[in-house]
Amino acid sequence: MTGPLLSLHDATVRYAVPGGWRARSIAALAPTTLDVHQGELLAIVGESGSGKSTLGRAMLRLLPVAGGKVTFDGTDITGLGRAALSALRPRMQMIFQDPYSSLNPNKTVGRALTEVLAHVGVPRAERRERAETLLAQVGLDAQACARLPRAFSGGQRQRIAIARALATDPDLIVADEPVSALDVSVQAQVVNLLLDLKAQRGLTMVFISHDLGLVTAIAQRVCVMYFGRIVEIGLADKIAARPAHPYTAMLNDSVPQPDVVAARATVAAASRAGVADLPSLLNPPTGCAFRSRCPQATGICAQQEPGLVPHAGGGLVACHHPLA
Amino acid sequence: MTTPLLQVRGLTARLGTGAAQVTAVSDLGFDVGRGEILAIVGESGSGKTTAAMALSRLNEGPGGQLSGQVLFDGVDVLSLNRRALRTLRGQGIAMVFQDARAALNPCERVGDQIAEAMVVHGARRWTQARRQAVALLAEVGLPEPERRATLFPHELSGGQMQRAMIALGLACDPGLLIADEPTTALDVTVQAQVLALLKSVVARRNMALILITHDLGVVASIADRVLVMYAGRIVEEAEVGRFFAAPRHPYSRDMIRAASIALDASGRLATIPGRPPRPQDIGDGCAYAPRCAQRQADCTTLRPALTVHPTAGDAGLPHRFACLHPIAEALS
Amino acid sequence: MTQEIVKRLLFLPVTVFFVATLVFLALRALPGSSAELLGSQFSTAGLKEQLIADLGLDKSIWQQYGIFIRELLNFDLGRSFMTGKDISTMVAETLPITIELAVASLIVMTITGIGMGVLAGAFPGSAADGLLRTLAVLLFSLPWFWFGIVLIIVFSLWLGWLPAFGRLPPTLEYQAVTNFVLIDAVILGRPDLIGPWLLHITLPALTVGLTTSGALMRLVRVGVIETGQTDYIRTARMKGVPAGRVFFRHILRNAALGILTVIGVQFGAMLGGSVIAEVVFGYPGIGRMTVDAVLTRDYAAAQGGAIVIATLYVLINLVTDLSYRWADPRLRRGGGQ
Repeated sequence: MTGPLLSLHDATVRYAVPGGWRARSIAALAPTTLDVHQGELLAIVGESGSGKSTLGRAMLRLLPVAGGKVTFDGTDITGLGRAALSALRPRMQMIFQDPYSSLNPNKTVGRALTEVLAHVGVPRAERRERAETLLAQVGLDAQACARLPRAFSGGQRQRIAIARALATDPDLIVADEPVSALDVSVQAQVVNLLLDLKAQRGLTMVFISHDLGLVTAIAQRVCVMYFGRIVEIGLADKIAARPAHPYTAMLNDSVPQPDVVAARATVAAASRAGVADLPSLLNPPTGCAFRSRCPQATGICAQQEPGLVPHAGGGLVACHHPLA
Repeated sequence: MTTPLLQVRGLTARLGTGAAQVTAVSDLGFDVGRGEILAIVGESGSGKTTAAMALSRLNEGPGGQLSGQVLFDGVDVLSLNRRALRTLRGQGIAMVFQDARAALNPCERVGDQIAEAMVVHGARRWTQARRQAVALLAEVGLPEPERRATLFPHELSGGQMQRAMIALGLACDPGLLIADEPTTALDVTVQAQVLALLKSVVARRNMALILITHDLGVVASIADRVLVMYAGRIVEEAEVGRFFAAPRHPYSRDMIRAASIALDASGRLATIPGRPPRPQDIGDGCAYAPRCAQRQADCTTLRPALTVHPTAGDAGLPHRFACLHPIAEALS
Repeated sequence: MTQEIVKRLLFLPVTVFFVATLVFLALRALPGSSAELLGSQFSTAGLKEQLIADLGLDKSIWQQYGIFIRELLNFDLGRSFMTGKDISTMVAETLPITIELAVASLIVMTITGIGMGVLAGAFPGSAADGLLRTLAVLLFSLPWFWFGIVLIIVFSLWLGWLPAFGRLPPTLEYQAVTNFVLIDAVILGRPDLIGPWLLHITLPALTVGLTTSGALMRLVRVGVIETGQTDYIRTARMKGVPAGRVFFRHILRNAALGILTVIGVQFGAMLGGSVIAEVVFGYPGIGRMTVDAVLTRDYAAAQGGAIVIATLYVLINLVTDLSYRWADPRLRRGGGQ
């Protein structure tokens, strides 16, 4: 198929801020343009407050989009009404971060799955069998159908959530920090499961995470976000080896490696750097949002917000002074 | 050789009551000295947090029974009366908890919470204590410490709260600080700073630090020695360089492999299959055997005891492990 | 926060209007009217029609409603058919009495409920805890009127310790000024009023206070237990804070927030529930006035009573809400990032 599966063009998301006489809103997602290509694994990486979860939800129109356009497979879904959106939902699914709250604790696993299958029109006689097949595909046995979510561990619940997302046979899956809440030994298992399923079913996947090391290992393209903006997009190995944006470089350098020499150097560098926090969303800084923490900020960084433009390494970067 | 500040011998913790009682920690023994950073590594269910809390008897009560010996500066913590225990807490042993947001009183100002630690031990009066609290917040790197001290916890960011918690732990100048997953809930750019802070505090105050974590990157960052726990027991203890270069226990090796995130030839991440056992499911033999790639027949029947490696690691630190068929070669 | 207060105050007239309409309709729905009840004693047909015309009952219901609302907007509650007094005067006479009773009941409820709850929460699972929990269930299962009558039988009839009826002994001379006994005792220089007043208010206050304390006790107990299990209490223990200080200054202080709301809501409910106590004990409060008015189809008095009680209820809820926001730092400054 030609063209991207999902496309955002200057899409913006705003949240209303309570309190005060005037209605105030903050831009949780600044005007963002991004394409998701058919069959790719795109990672969106950022820390808290980066807007990555907001971006993921905006992609699936789980949030109202205040400006710009969201297109799914050629259809403009920005202002789509509830019924039309409902008809498209089976093709785009989401997996959430917290396995303990994303499943209804009062519904058995089998019920959770068969209800979804009923919603997409699977005949009653086939539903149970399809549910069991789905569970097998995520590594759980058919007996799980009769049990409630509380009988399962975090990793198992996440597998059930994946099964539920796959039940509608989607084209696109957005996984919002799917393994962050899991035990470390289970994280890799669930990631492997997602990679296997993606390959088997030819899925397009958007993987949202705060773990730059993880996403550069598994994704094809990586999109780095800061303060509601994309600051860099590129191929995963380029991002890991030669980041163009100072923030990406900072992320790279901050990840503690399971290697004594490298990890010690990271900590030593951190002790030399200053303490800095995210700028306030209520009072966004002029120009580049990263300049308060950027070692190479100059005058123009305060005056003009850098646009996302191609750079020498082959990706896109939003910086007045991109790294080599 | 001076006596280590903390000497733990045969520490066992049983949690729960009646039929549901499980042994969360079995026969734990280790030392920590001043100026030293010991990392206790394990997954959830390994008993590391239980062990940490047991050192100051925080999980003791109707739902928790402790036995063994915890010698702090020569005194057995487990045999102290309530009054002496209360004196020890904060002044001898202090803890920094994982979720700083939940661990701070939402209805009290941050500075007051830190000051209270000093006041209840009679170290200072309120005015002085508050001033000292501001100094502590500055020591842990919070900008504008006077203003921050008047704020409530929810008005601080995650990183700031964690620093405030560390300041609280340091308030009475304890000899031993126990940090339970201090960086897990933080952004990665903040993690490195908090680890740097802990390292500098240990050096500056000549304290001992026990760092509880599941993240081997954190271990490599600042730990001097590593203690690996699995299913409530120690499976390996080594100096940090030796641990990463040549671990003896298969679990250590598997964890190190899984921590270096990279796709193998078949496009998958390295994992440890299965998951850690629940305390009630541990049978005879080695608890790791069901997941161990090199298990043999005797692994399921004999529980391996801790043995000391014939050659000590760097700095003469002992290398202990509990495996019947330990790994012989160094990691590539 | 000022914005909140203003918003809530703006809603007050809406609520009152709504209640007034409901009361109006409910009373008109009851069979019979004052005129008929009274007029049935008179054989002269003309007198009954005269009464109906006087009361305005010959007009259509819409017209009656229109007159009712118009008078309400002028704060004119009308005139009682039965007593001929201004409703406003009757309210001024009876409302303070109800407030006195409600406050006394609140004190009983708070002391008993919090006392029992704190004791049970401090020693969960103990024998005392089990006993207190049983007692709490017993208390809130008891119907108020039954409990009131039992108290009368035990303390008035059998033991003769406390009076069973009324607010003050009938022999006591009392020209009310504000109708609040405590205030009047000071203004009039009549300390001798206070003793009898206390004796008379004891049984009704115990009736209402004890029966409502059961629910409060359980909430306090749970609040104390749950607060005691929080991470920040663990931090306090870690710091070496003595157990007593942990309990009183940290656990109770933080658990108090949730308890505050309950007490506020209970106060509002007590205003209405005091109707029952006033009937059982013959206590001349606004509740009893309203009940009597409904029974005699004295529309104006019933409407006036109901509207005043409803307004008071809304005000108390507002005050509770605001005090909760003020007390919890998390809500006061609008929350963090």
